[in-house]
Amino acid sequence: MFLNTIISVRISCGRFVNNVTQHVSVTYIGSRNISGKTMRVKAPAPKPAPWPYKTNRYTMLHRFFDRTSARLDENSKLIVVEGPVAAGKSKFAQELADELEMLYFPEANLDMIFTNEYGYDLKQLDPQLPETCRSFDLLQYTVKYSQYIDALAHILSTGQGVVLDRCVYSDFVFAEAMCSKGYISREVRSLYYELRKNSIGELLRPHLVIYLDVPVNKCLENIQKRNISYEKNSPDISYSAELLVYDWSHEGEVEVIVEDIERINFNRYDEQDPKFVDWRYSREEMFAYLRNKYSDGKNFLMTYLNVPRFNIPELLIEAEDAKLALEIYDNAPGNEYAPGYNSSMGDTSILFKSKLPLRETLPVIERRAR
Amino acid sequence: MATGPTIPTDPIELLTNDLSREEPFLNKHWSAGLCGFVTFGAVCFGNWSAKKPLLSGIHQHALFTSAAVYIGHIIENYRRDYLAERDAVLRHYIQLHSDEFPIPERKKFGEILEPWIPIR
Repeated sequence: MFLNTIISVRISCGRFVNNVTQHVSVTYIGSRNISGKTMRVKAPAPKPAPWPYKTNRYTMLHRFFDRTSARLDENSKLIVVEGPVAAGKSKFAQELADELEMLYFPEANLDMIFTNEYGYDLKQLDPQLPETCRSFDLLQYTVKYSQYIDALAHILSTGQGVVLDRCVYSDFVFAEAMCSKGYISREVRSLYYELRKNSIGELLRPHLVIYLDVPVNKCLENIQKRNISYEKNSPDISYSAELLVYDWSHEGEVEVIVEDIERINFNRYDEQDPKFVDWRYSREEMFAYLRNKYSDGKNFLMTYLNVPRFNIPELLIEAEDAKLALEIYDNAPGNEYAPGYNSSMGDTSILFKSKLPLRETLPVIERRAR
Repeated sequence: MATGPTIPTDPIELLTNDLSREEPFLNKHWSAGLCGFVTFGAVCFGNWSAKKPLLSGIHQHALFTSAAVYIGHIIENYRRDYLAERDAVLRHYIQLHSDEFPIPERKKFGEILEPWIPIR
């Protein structure tokens, strides 16, 4: 049947739309595919209330009473929207998330880690800091990794799907581009790949990647081709995930793409099938383990990025500089004590407070123009 | 000349509590006090290392410190029981074998020390 043999890479959906509309959703809504809210025939099955993973632990004992797979349904998927700069990704991702009733994560940016819990932007301190200690862009990978862990924790704890605007798997494109333009040295690039190799295996690869392709114009064609080749030749994305590629130069309809998504067959249970292999487990314990790993174990997962490298002079910091920078950071508003304990920032009832935040969930901050 | 409690010469008297003297406060409570003090400091240190104000979560200070004081009392009582029992055993042994424990004759150091004769 046509729809069961959908190829994994489909280019320019406009071609398919007319063919497929005759099939109507009836055939496929019944199976466990992603469904949008407008075309959904029956209401989704009731499931337990979302687990407050930001504040509550999910321990070994909880596994007996709170089954992780009870919340996972056909829409508990991880969708990533990729594409070149200014392709309209974030707008599209927001609309897609709204239609599929998923959670939209704005593109990871450095503001997310340089803004403290009280909204103070630590990048303001850069002029006071020694030159070696200022904020730097290598942390881009850290933010995306951190955000991806949050996304996985959200899916496994609440059952709600997530739409990511770019993700950790495609971040190496920026490192490559920066290296080829001379912004970072080859040693830093090798460190980047060491960090990536050390940490990325801990994550579950996405279900679906939507690539919004924007051919800019003829004179930029070469640059554009090169940028995309990293994506298109990336071995692991279309190997383990479904990949949809659209020509987005004239901003298409979100509904059309939602229809395409609804037709993708996500029911693959063959052990040899590489698609969604990260998400297929026969035992409930594995889901419980992963849920615990991404929700409670985030701080531990972040330690995979602690790779010391002493042969890169531009990344080394003098001890005096480090001490000075630490003092300046500690004296910034809201950094004196742990979050929730700063009476200077208006925190109350500190005397009887004893809990610290369970995990460091990234704040939701849209990328803003500098 | 300073006067203090007379030194008992009778071994049984030596191993018996002098009830006419009141025990000093510090003597009674140093064990519990030390446990409580160290625990209070440890809770403060834990707060400092977690980047919290030292006295935040004061109910934890109270809980852990009072538990430590109680444990200190238990340790002190156990120690006193042990020593009392030991003294009682010794007293009993001395009562049973009083001929082996005559009241020692009091001597001065001059009588004990032998004359020193430098010989090279």
